[in-house]
Amino acid sequence: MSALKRNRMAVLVFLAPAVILVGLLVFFPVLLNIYYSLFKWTAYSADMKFVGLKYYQKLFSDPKIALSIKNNVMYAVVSLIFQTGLGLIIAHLFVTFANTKYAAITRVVIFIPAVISLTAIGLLWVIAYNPSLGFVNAILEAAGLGRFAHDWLGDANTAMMSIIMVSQWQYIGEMVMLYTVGLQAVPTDIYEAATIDGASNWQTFLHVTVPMIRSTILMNMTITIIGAFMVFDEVYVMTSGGPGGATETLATLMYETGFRKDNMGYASAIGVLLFLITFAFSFIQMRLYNVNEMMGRSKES
Amino acid sequence: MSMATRTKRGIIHLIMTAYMIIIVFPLLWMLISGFKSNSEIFGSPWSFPSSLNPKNYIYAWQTYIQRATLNSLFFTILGTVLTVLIAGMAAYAVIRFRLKSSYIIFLFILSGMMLAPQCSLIPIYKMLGITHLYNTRIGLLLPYVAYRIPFSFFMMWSFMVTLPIEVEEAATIDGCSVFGTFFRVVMPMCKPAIATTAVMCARFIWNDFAFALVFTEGKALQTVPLSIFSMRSTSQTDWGVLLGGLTLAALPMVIMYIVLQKYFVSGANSGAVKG
Amino acid sequence: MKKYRWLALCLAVVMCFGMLAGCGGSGDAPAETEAAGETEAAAEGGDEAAAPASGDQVTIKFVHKFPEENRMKFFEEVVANFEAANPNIKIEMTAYGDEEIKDKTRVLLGSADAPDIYFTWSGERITQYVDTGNTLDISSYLEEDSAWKDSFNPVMLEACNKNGSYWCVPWDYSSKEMVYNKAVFEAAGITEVPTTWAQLLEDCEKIKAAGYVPIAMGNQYPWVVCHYLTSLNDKMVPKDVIAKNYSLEDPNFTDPGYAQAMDLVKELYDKEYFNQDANSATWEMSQSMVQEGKAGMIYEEVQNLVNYNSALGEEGWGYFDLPEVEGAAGETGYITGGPDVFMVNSASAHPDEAITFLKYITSDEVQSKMAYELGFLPATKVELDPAQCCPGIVDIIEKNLNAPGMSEWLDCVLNQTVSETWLEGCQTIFADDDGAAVMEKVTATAVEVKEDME
Repeated sequence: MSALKRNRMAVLVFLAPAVILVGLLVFFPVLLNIYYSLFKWTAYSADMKFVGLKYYQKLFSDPKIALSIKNNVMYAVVSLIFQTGLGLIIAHLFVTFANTKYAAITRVVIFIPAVISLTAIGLLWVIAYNPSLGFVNAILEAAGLGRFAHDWLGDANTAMMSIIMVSQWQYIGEMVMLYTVGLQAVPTDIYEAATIDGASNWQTFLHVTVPMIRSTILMNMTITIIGAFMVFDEVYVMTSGGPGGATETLATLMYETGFRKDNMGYASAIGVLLFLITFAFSFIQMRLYNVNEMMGRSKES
Repeated sequence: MSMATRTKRGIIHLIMTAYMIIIVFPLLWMLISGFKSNSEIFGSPWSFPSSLNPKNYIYAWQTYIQRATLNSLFFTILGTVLTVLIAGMAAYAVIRFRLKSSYIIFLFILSGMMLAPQCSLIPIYKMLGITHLYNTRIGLLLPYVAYRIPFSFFMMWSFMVTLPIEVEEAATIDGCSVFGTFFRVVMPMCKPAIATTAVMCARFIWNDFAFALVFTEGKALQTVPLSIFSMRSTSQTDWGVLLGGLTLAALPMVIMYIVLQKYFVSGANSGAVKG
Repeated sequence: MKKYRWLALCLAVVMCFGMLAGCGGSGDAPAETEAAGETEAAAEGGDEAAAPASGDQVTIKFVHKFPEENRMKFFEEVVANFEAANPNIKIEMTAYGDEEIKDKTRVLLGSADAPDIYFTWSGERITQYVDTGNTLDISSYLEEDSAWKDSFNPVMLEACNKNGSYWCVPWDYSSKEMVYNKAVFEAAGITEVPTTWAQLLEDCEKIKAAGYVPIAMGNQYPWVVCHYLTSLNDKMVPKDVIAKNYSLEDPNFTDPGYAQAMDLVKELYDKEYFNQDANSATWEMSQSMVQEGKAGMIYEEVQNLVNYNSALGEEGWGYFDLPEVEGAAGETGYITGGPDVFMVNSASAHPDEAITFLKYITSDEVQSKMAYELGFLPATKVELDPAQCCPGIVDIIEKNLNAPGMSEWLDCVLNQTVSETWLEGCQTIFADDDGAAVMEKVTATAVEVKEDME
């Protein structure tokens, strides 16, 4: 075998699997989704009837879509406040004030829920929230707050927030971990300089720390937002979109529309909408990765 | 240490302890309630089980979790190995092979990170149906691998790009082929990156629910998240069994996390704190 | 070196053609030994999915919705008996829970892994598969074997008749009764079961005053309230109006009876006659509330009576029909329920063998075994020995045979999209909605669906 041929073979072997898999199963489905959204079809029949852009018109007039987006946005906003906001403050307090070892142990412990599957966590909280089985109302009663005891997941007014809070419980720990690495990378002499200048802790945090880890914060924000729009498992497991459709999100609505209500075309259109939203934020995220610079390095090498 | 600092530290430590309790309590509650009988569960959420008889755990394990664990292990191990290998090879090729299209390929694979798997549930379901891969092992494995490649590629690339080329050149002079160099020289040097990538990959596949829900049916291929989900409809009112099953489902990842903590943390970080 | 090259090449090729070949993962160098074992399993899984019958052995894929332990055991015995008598047929059985099977059947039918025999409820749930050609017309099999055809309860068999052909066979049927805990009724000072809605409300008040939940409601999946509406709609709305509405000939569900029916249920909740966590309580929880003496009544399906019999003892429970609503515009005395049916997939390679199995599970032997062991109501005219049945069952069967009509499950007779809207209303009436508001949404959906169909 000539060296040239051998090299070509190597190129093929090294690159083809990744390129083909990503092309076929990551990119191609996006196009296919758009194609499928132009037809009326069901999972169990080969018949496909072309309907054009009808389902896209429907997206704009469907109150369920509006409600789902509202729920996704609520998910995003609450997660931004708790995970990217509160998470940063917690991480900062741990790094600045706590005993190093105790802080490390705490960070390890609070990360635990994040490694457990959403399905298990979701089912655990279904039971925890249940008025006759769970501990949530029992804790409220024990704390003398019995009047706040509630059918959390059964009431349309509290169900979505109850699901969202589970997600906060599960993921703040991961965010704290992420911030900690960023915070520890901030050189300490900067703090010393700030202290000499007489800045208070709070001022140091706002004016020195936050700008230093700006990129980390932005990155965590985009990750949180993308995650909030992709929400599927926890809602499907905890309420299946109920009660009365109150906790529907775009992803669960898509699943239900396709597999329950036999409208795969419309479900595909919802998939396209979901794609556009997550893609927009992912694009921002990629910019934050400094992809251009990385590509430059890649080109050089 | 000044008095004020000490007080502050004390308050912070209290907050930390409270936070740990908030995190650990529900998990411990799940573990302990798994030992309770149904009437004990309905009785009071605070009571301790009358005995530490593991019959709920044994029943949940034998009826639901055992087979599902084997399936989950299959997808997680094979999926992780394939992903790391494929992503590693592609990253290596992009860095070392002098190709005109390297830049485009780099961009192409990396852009895969921007596409959320949830959006493509329906078209992939349809594709698997057309290729008769629906409800087969390979039909679930391929999407897992495909969606993990972009991120894993990025991880491997970031590490490989820092490797000195001299070692490889030495290997080539010693008569190693491209493949030999890659497997015997490059991959061993990448161990830290491989570990982190593998942990991230395993965490994703082990915990996945949506793909397994849509791309498989029935008990034969059921993974752990699906099996605990189906427990709810088949275990009827047996809450102790359900809680026991949830504990068993959560345990492997928690243990893996405690053992391989470092890689979980670096994995999570590499996803976020870059650039 | 050569070895690695070969392995890597293998990997690439396998991955390239994996999509078509339906088997892969074998070129996986670092985990060589392990992968080899696992690949075998993969190949097996793949083969099973698309395996043509080898030799005379025929495999029938059978999907039903009875995964509960005792029901599964029953089916395993039935299948074992059948396989012993028909050594050339192997039954591959899968069971899904109530909620799951609604999605799974659709998904399975769209796959290469489609079942030969599959479960469905009646009404629109049959029609949807008939319309898409997913189900085999089995009229000729029934004509050939008139003894088989005649063995069925005609009402149940007719549920399988669409456009003049038979598309399925009924296996069992369900009907609803109010089941009550006698101890709770006694504690509340109730001596006679209510026969009118007003009496029901009075009794609820008494039970509530005695410190019990009057009616257990596990509406996490809203078909539970929907079953109330199934019965109440027929009581509240004139028959011809219902016929036109349910078929969507007239998509305007504007008869006030519909909204009144929902408001009757809402009233039970608002007056705290249902447990107040109705929308998050599961159906199973509501059952155990009655069985454990925390609640007085539950609107139950008769195949579950056995559970009350074993929990409360023969003297501990009773049943009565859902009370009639005074002065309502609809029918009285209807039973509420519907058959569970099995269909043969039109794409099945072995329809004859599938029919052989269906004949077996509708034989007197299996039908009576089902009635005795599971407490289900047979879909055939099999003679049952009352001594072996759960108390009440034989009387209920007798009563059902003489009923003037049947209210079929609302969520099954209606178009799927319309019924999903209605089902959502079945939960929202316990919050801010009322009957009129829900019916407006139902009408809006129905109008849209009808336009869509034309």
